[in-house]
Amino acid sequence: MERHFHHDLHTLQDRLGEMAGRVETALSKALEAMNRRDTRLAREVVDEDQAIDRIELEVERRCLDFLGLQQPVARDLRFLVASIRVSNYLERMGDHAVNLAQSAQKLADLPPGKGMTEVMAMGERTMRMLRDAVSAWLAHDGPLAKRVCESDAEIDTFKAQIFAKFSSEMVHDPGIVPQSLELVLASRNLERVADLATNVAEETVFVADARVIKHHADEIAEKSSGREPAGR
Amino acid sequence: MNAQAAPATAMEPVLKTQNLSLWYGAHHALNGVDLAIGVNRITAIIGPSGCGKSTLLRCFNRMNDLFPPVRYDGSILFHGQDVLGPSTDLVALRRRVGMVFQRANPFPMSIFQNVAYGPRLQGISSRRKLEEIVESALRRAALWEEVKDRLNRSALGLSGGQQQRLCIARALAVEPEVLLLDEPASALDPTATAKIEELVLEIKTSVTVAIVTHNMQQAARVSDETAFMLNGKLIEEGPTRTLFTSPRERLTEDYITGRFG
Repeated sequence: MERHFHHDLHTLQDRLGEMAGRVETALSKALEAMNRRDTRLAREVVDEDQAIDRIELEVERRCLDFLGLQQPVARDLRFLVASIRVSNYLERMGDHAVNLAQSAQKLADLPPGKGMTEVMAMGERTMRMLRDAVSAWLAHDGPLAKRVCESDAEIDTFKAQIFAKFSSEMVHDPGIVPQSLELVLASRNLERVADLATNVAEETVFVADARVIKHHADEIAEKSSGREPAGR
Repeated sequence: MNAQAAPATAMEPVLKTQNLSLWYGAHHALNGVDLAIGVNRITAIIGPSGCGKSTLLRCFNRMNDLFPPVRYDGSILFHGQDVLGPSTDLVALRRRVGMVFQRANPFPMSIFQNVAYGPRLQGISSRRKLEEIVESALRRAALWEEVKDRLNRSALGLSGGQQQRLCIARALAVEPEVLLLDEPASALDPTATAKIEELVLEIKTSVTVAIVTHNMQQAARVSDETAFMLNGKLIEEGPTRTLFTSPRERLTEDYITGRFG
């Protein structure tokens, strides 16, 4: 028996899918704008962020309605609570895409500097992580979500390398400081996107496997109770 | 289910079924049920109509014997003693394991007489003692303030919700160790239902409660442990909090989320 409520949950998931698609597009455009020094494309990212914000508000309202009116339990309850958080993570990723687009606008006014290749490589890896996190969320795919969480360390390494490279280069050539600072900021924004993608993946595991893995909560619970973490 | 691992056995079980099966004639109503009811816990039994939840509840004080031909297999332990044995004193068992039904069934007598009925049968005749018992039972059933000025009026003049609380007071008056509630609020409005639920939460300090309900939110609100039954089998039992947020069994999840039933 398919209840209206469950049909409505599918609709909610579709909205989150659309929101995630917009975030992916924003991030991809922001990186391209930075790479091609394309201020028009950067402007688009800034303008399109409002649509992402609107979906977040809509998802939040729908989730509150369902929680108040349907008394959901089990997977439905976990899905709704997680959806509120996921919509917030996606909205924040959208904000980071805007930050990247604004960096792209500033960089377009500066002479080209070194280090763009590294930032683009980091951007590509971050995009792949985001796409996997969204695919896992939409398919309730716990194993894929766990792989996303594991890949976050790669992004942190990228950022550390970029920081190290630019720190020394800026010391030797103060003339490149304005461009380099923008690229360091860009890597910081990408790192935050990767963290948020990890958060989405953690929510996926919560929905799919009824396990809380953020902050290593399951390991903490396991140690304190001496039991295996709950699972199915 | 492995009884050793069942959460309710983490404390002393008052009642416990072991591989319990029951037949009404040819109808196999319960099939290998292992369930432990922990002392001073509220255990809810949920499941679709006909799943055997009321039958299981009625096993605990042998009320199913009133629906012959009935046949049991396995065991039902009350403080470790098998109540299915021929030497079981059913009157004594039912005094220690009281029951309240879906439809309130006050006796056609005064409110006072309803509550004093059991204690009188037990031989208590002192008026003062009976008054004490009646007031205490009515207070525990959260009815005292509403009826203290009309104890000699007919119980049949009470509202449906009050009648049900009177039946709970009547059951409590003989100081049972366990109270079995069979859909006690299903005929009541939300306010009367809330009063029943609150009093159940209040009395659990002194009584072990097992409640059958087809209202899942009610089970979620009042119980410490929940057992889910389907087709005469116990599918899953565990802390209510866990069962309603992350059930182990797919069947449980499908039922409580309304994906079947």
